[in-house]
Amino acid sequence: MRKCKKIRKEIIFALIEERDFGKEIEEHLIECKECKDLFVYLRSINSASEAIKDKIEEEMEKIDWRRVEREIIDKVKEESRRPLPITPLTNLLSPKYLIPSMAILIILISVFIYKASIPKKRDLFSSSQLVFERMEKVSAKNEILKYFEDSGLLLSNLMEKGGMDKHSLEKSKELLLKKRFINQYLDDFPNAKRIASKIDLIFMEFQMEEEKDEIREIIDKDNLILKINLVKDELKEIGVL
Amino acid sequence: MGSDETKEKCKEIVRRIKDGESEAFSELIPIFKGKIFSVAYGFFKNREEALDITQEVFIRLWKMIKNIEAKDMESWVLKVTKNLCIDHYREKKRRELKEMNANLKKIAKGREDGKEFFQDLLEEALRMIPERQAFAFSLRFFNGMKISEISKIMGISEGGAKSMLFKAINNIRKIMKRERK
Repeated sequence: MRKCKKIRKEIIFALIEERDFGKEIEEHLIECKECKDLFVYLRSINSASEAIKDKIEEEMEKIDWRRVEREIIDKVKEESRRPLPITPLTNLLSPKYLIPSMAILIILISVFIYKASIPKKRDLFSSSQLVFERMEKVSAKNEILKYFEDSGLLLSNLMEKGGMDKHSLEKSKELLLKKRFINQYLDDFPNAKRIASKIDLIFMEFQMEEEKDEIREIIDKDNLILKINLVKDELKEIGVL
Repeated sequence: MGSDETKEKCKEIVRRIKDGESEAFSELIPIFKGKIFSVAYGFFKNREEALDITQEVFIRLWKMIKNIEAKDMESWVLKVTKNLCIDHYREKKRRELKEMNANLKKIAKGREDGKEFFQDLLEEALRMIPERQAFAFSLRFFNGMKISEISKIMGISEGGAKSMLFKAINNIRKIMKRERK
């Protein structure tokens, strides 16, 4: 078994690095059906990839590149006609921009002094904008919490029952998709992001039924359920950022 | 990344743009268009999306042209391609969350063994693994890039790139195996 693990790793890396593997592996592939299955799968990946490569070339030939180039140039020209983008400070201080920059700076300082001298009062637009932003963050946090709650429940079930039924497998698939969705919000919560990545890998493992003992070992060794609960508490405590 | 000849050409074009000859920018398009399109197409398998990405990369290149070292231009262009592809992909995934699962099931139910079946299943499984893994996979297998190139584009070490590909292959296999049962 240990030999198989080593050999499977070696076959995958040989494919990644585009190199051949030794005679020992070739001989093993004749004897071991599971490793041979992996080899066949990797060969299929290679031939499917070749077909996709051909498809890319076919698509490239079909494109009217002259038209695409013209469109790009038109867009670039359009961009050049737009007002100056925010340039680095060094550019603003160059002789060409020095006078306009100073004028803008004086106006900004005047506006700042004027604003500071009058009592603050938010206009309707900016406050509704803030409300929307806050609503989005609250709903993102709730989605993340829900993800952890569902994941925790699923993992606890697995630990208790020692197996996975069809419903749990479907749920794990759903949670894999949900993780893709909440990914964009996880950057605000580093601990949650770390734990969610671990859960994600475990759910990937779920797709292979025969490895469930190994999965249980990982969940147990990593104290994953405890960590999920801690992250949930942390999320509830920190409120909306 | 990129031949010395390409680097020299880019250097010359950037110099001319800096001297005020902005039309010289159009000479950069033939140099990079194929590479950008093939990377984006390999990832999306959709011509329109790949063309949109190609266009957007060139607009960004134009905006940043004076701040990019000519020798790093190809690497910069491909990194921007990667970022745009992944951003666009995330946005798309949000819209197609339900559709993805249904597609995978439909393909697996077809059970027509053969190249096309495997290819469809592979493409759908790729959509289910983490975006960065899927992108690295696409660079390696659909664009035939070397590990050193992938590591530069992804902004990780060569070891990191290999391990990312290893995970991608394993994850795809698990998903495919599950769906074919």
